[in-house]
Amino acid sequence: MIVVGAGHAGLEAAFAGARLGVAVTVVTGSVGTIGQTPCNPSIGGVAKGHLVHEIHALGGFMGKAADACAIHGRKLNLSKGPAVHSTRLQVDKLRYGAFAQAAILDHPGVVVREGLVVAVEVGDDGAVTGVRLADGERVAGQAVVVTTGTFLGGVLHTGSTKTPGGRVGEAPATELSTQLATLGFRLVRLKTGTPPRLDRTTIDWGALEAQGSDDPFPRFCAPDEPDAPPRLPEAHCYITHTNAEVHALIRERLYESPMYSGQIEGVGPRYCPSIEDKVVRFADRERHQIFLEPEGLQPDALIYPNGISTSLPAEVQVEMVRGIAGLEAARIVRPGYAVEYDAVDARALNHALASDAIPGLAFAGQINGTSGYEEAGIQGLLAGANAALRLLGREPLELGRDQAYGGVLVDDLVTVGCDEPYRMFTSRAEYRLLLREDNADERLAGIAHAHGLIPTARWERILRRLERVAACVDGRANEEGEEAWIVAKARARKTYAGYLERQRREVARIRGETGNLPLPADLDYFAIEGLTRESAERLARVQPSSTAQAARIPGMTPAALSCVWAHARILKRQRARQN
Amino acid sequence: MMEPDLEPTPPATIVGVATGRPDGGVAIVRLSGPAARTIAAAMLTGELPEPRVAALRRLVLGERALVLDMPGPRSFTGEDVVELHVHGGERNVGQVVEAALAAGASPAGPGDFTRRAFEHGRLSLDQAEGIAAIIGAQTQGALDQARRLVAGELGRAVEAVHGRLRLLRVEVEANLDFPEDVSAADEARFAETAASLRVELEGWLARFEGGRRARERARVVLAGPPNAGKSSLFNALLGRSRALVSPTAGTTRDFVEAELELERSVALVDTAGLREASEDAIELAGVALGQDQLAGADVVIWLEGADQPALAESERQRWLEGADTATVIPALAKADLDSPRVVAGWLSLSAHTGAGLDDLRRALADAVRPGEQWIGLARHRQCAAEAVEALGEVEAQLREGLGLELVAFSLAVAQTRLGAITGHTGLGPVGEEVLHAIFSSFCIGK
Repeated sequence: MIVVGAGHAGLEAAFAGARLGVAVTVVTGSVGTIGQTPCNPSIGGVAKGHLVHEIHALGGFMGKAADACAIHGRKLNLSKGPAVHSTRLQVDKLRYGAFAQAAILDHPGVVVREGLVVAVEVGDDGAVTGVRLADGERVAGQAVVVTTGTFLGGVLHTGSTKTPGGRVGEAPATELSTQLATLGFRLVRLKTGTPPRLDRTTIDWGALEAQGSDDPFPRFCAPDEPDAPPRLPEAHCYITHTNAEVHALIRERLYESPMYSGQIEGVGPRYCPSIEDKVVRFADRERHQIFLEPEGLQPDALIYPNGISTSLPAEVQVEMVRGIAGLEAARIVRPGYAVEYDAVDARALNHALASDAIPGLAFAGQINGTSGYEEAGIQGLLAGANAALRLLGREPLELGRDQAYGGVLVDDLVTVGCDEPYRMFTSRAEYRLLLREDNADERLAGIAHAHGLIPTARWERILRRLERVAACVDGRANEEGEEAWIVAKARARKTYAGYLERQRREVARIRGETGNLPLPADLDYFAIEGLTRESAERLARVQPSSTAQAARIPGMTPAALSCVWAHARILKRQRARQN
Repeated sequence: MMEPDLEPTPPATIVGVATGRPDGGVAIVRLSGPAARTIAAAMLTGELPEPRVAALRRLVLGERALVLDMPGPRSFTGEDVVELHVHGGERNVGQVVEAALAAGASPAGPGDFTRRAFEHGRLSLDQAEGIAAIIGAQTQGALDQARRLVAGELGRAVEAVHGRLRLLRVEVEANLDFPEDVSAADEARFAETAASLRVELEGWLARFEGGRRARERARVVLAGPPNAGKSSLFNALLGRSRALVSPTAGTTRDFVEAELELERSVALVDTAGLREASEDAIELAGVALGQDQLAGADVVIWLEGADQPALAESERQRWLEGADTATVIPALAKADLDSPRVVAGWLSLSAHTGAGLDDLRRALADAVRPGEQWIGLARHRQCAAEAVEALGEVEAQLREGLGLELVAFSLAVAQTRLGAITGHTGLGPVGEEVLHAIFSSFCIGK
């Protein structure tokens, strides 16, 4: 099994394959950048923390790595119920990369080699036979998991300067992009961005409000895990704000931003707008919050100013940063930039994230149109495990929308696809009250064990843990005599006990009413009365196979959906009549 | 690869007699579907007339027809519709329909045209229900309300509340998914909004009974002990001898019903005198029937004879137990007798002289006046009541400081229930419309 790329998706794919006993070769452009956190050095967040807990429950790498490298930790949404409590850890960037490198290089079941993959090789029978590298060398394999992140056709933009690349200083995978298109994959052009990095010694820290970690410090590993990594010292984050002068400057120089000059065609995420977007779209806001996050513990670690992602020219970035309180003398070590890249249309994949057209070929991570380390990680784990399970002739690992955020993510990707980078939100999960951080083990560890992704000893330990929780829930054990984290799990279970059945009924009701009615693939949406041209275009592009999928297409209005639903009912009745 | 059973085939073209029973002077045979115009053309000797312009044509089978071609989507069903206005008569109309079937149409089932209109988005569910209600309307009140339903009045009211509900949901969802980007949840304001929406829906529910009474003919039941003079009063109110009258107690065995015109027409019902001591099985059965009538009464005229000993209050209450939602008008009959019994607050009547009958008519008219009306039907009330319940839950969750994720759940329930009224059930929890609203209302991305 070959894994192309060694980012968050690639790592999880390789480890999952190796855990299942398949020989894995990882091909990476550069061993030095394995496990990079090229944007925000934090793992988790709302809904993303849920994903990391799921990765961890499935025996994955990311949760443990984040725990080992965390220097700042918060539990978000504590004012709400446990279903939306979300862990977010900021990691020491260098340590995280080193931790990942060591883990993969030292892994006995994984071979790592440097090289740029230019083609996926397909045999006469249409199945994958391996990959070809830029130097012409071939690596043979019966399964290939492609996790190239933003490298497919990547172009970096800072002002009018365009540089081909997947990240700063790294060459893009342009040939592979072209080859995937010739294999029949539809590519979509997406965009994301990152802020400038600052020299910590040039910031006036005394003028800024500090933000510490939560106590107790949140972790992804459970307290009963014997191999939970030790903790690093903590670092603080600081908060500052933009102001009216900075906004005026941005508006004045907007014409130089490739986003606004038309130089960038890719669609960026609405939930992670550049500072240019924020100033334009929310013109009445007097200021925007910026979190100054250290990228590490070492004295020369850079500062990540979270909230001012930008692709303005470098000299405008300098002026902008110096207009911000506390940053009057700040030095930009590396300017922010936007990156445009190709993603494959994941609707060509099945729920195992594999191609039906080319047996053995699978995709995971940003290449499927997602954004975020966590979204990449869970896909890598599922794609890698499934590639291996297929080689072993075993049943695939597919998670339902009522089992995991990972199930929601994969289902959304392969059925709806995305026309902007896809990030997980709790509101995407109709079973939100069921899919919690606190019960990821309960939901997934049994599945992981059944598929061979976690060893029996670990499964038995989790069973003992769940028994303690159950004893608290049904009153066999006294809460006072139990550890706080067990009690918290028991309480969460009790909180939602009355709601879970109702939630299931409600979802069934909605499904029944807006229907899981099938829609034919070649349905002429332009001929459906009452559909706006815009809606018809979206539908024609996505070609949903059911009305439930149509409901999840970005930008679909209730009016358009009721038209589609009505049409699907007509088709259903015709079929009934024909039978 | 396409599954063959998903192949989109054009829907069948249906034919039906839109005017119901074909024994009137004119019957309208309606064709609807993609082949409507082809089928109509095959039935005519000449060309189809210009769209939306009626023209006389000769049918192949000999009959003449006024033909109206209404191409979709601007037609009742949203499909191509052709109407043939032909002479009535079962045989004649039957032959026209047969000709359409022979030309390739399928027979329309009951409600098929309206169903197609709903499926093509020409009508919302409440409007389609309004059409059925127009057809079934037995009273002027029912007809007025059904017309308002068809005009979309209820649907618009639902959409207005639904829109406000959606705004609240958007704020809650933004708070759940972007706690660091949006200002802290204002639970008090959320609860206020939920309460105001609940109060609005409760107003609908409170007026449902008024609406129902305006739709239905009120039932006024005459009840009381035997020989009180109920049948005499019944006849006097109607102005004709409808019920059999005799001096023998227990004359009325069955109940007798007649239409009485007040401000609105009501159903006036005479019942057997109520007593338990009878040995007569038929009379006892009549008493039981009378009690059934009391249970369905909107108004009860409780009548005792002024010449009879007063019934114990507890006994009267017991007889009226089944009529707990009815307005009770107590009255004493035979006021023309010498030294009649008089009770404060009771009407004194004489069927013989007509004394007090105008007072009774006024009291009845007041009692059956429907009051404020909501045009929603029983199904709509059920949906609205469930939405009220869900909103009440939202308020309780906010008041008790339960998690916003539970608030979001109950809001979604309220949205679904409300949307069910119009048949636009919406998207459920995974709503792009909610996400879209979040991103356009809040600056997300710290």
